[in-house]
Amino acid sequence: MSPAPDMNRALLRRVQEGDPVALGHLYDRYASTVYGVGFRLTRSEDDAEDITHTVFIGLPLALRSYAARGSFEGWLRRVAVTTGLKVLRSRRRECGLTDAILASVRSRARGDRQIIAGLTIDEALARLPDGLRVAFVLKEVEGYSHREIAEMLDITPGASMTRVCRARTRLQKWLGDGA
Amino acid sequence: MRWSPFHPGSRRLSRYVDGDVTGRGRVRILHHLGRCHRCRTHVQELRRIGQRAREARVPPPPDGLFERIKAALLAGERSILPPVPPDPATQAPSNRAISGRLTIIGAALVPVLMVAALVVFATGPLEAHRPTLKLAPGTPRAGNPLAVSFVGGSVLGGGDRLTLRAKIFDNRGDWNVATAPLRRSRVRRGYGGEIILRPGTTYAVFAVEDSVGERVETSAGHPWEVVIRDGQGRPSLEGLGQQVARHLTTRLDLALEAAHAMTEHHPGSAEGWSTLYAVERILAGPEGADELAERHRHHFARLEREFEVRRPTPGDLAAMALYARSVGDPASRERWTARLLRDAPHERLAVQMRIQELQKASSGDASHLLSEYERLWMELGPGTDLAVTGLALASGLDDGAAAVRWAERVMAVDPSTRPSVALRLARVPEALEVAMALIRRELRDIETAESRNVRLPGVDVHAARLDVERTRTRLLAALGEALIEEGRPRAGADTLRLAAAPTWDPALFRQAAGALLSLGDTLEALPLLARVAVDPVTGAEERSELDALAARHLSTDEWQAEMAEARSRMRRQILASATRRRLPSEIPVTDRAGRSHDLRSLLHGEVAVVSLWYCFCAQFESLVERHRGVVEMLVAAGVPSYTILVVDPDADAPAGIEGPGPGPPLLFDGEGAALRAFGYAHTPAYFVVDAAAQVRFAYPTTDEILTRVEVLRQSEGLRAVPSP
Repeated sequence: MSPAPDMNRALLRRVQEGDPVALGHLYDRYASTVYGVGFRLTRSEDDAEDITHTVFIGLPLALRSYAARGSFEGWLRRVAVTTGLKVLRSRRRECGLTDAILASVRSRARGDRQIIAGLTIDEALARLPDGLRVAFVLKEVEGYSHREIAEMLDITPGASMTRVCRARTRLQKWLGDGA
Repeated sequence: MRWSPFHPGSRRLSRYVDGDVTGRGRVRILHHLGRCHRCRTHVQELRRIGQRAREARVPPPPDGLFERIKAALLAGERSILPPVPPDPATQAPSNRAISGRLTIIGAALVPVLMVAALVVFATGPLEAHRPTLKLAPGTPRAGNPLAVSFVGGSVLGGGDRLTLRAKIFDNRGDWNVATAPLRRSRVRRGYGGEIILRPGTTYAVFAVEDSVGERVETSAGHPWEVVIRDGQGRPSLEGLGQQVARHLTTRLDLALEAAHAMTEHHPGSAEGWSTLYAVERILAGPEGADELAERHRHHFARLEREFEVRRPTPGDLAAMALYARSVGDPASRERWTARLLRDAPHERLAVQMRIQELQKASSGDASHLLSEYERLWMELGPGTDLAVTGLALASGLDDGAAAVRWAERVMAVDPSTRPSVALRLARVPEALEVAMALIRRELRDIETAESRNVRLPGVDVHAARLDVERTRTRLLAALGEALIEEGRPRAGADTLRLAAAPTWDPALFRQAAGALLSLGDTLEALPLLARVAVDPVTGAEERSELDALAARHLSTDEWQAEMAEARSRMRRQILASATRRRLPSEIPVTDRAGRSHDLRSLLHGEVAVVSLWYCFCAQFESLVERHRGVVEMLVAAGVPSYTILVVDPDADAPAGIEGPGPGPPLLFDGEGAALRAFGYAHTPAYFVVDAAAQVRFAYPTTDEILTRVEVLRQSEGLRAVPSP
């Protein structure tokens, strides 16, 4: 494995070998990044903690397939995003089909009947349905293209654009004059 | 282009904010935003929402999380992370274009034309994680420090220190390059630093690089930019004007955006309206000119009324004179021209008008014209346009004394012109001595060129070094010729050989070899001639002549050895100047029928040439003829090439650009994907792309294209370019 320019080769090898001290160094540097990605996607501190836990537990194995092109942080962010999406999908499956439909109907109802304005950005992002929030965060915050978002979410690029547009429309309404 | 107003829907505006509307579509939206407050406000709100989302609070990881992770690992917990989607910039295309590969063999090909320009690409950030540069305050003022925070993309991101490189423009139209350190932040992601913007700063562009300048990061190939606020908190007029000038020939959409901002924030400025007209005029083309002029007449009339009440500045006078030429009636044109010449004679436009008047009045008497220039210089004092014009005329007249005098004036106004002035003087026999002294001084100074810190944002040390070496070669070559002219042929020949050593330039090899042959030094000339012989552009006839010359002095084996060494040198030297810029995994373009093609798929697998035409240049039509000649050369050599026009498929392509006979259709880059991928278009801009669809050479000249293709093919083990 050839190292990314920004990450010490020896440190990554030690993490791969299961050295907890080396993993600790990586954690110190990147935990807030990974946690931040997870929190933005899920708006849940519990889920963000799960995502961070999963990523760092899985890092020693995942580093074997790390191609070391570009920055390590960029790669790690992508790992956090895909892990976060997996957590979101499993959360929806746990609800069960009926529960998922009910949750979807409720969230649509909330959105459609929303006449409240002047929310904070945190509140507004939390109110967005998962599907819209994820697309919006991946586009606006993480900087992915619609094509990449479509691949990650298994939708079309057009659907990605629609979701981001709808997220913006709702956020604009909820944020009110504070937008 | 029709100028009827339309309101883009919210979805289209959302895509516009995402940067997914480009080309003419983007220009249409920009033009609409310039006139529609409602849509403009909506776009601003969408952008603010994004900004707030990016700045939204993110709690830190909970205390004790790592201890729990460690405990879980010790307890044997393992997790298999989901596969990470590959980096789009390195992904090989999986699908061919729907219509199959557009290979151009034995047919009149899309033309390719040579434009020399120097642009260095950043390695290209991952689409997935763009680098961000934030400035605080977001509305900076001159004379104050500017806090900078940077989060790297795929190019930069490690280490504790980076460097911010800035090109800073001021209100006199000058610029300088400044750097500032960026240090890794202890409290937040990324790096932070500060740069001072001196009083008078109007506009600045930025890039970030590592501590040695080898890796450079920009915003998708373009430096970040900021227009400084004036005393009233508005983006400064001069800064916006500099932004227009910077984007005018490559990103007309950004130029239009800046021109709109000039009129929005400075509605009483003639310069703003005149600039907006100029940019819109390029877009309108001949068919939209009348309607555009009609729309602008009322702005012109309003400004005329305002200037009856308030005194126009010299800049206003120049702008009104220019505006009047375009949209005013003959009386107002005359009125504003007279007023400019009387009240602001030192304004650049006024000087240019005086020069034009003198040229008209001279009736072809060049000596008289030169003396009129002298009189004008005495009257007006230093100015770039007059100095350059005087130097050109004096050189043309072979008036050594006058040429030296005007050369000194040019260099006094702008010291950075010294190399080009030296090269020009070297062509004037009576100014040879002065030219040689200037060249020698430049050659000494050039060693410290990099230490002068004039490397521009976005240019890495590799590209800067290449630029310095190219300048050194040109200066040495000029010095060599000057020494021969001076009657020192041995010194001249040796200097030419020195100039030829680090470069691959067959014309220079011939020049140096010719000088050596004149001295009877054939054995010394033969290695240079071997290089000419192996260059793919050298014709069969010349090659035979060189073989015959070599046979008189060398055995067959010796000559073959010289040519093998020359080929090896060619590969080394040309590859040393190569870049390696990955293209995005998809570059959607369309053909005339509107069918989509993926340019990246077309390029993969063979060394090819791409030409990117930016169709808003006034000279577009006249350049097509040159282009056709280049295409025919490429066809004969079996080199696939692709011509892309950065317009919608329904735009009018200039007659003849598709060439006679069968060949690939023209491709159209209506959404700007190819322009974004390659980073630059001109009339046209050429790129040599390797078999892995990486840009290896940008803007080669006509003579350089085939050589670069050959070198890439050799290095990739592909077939050689057939000899012409």
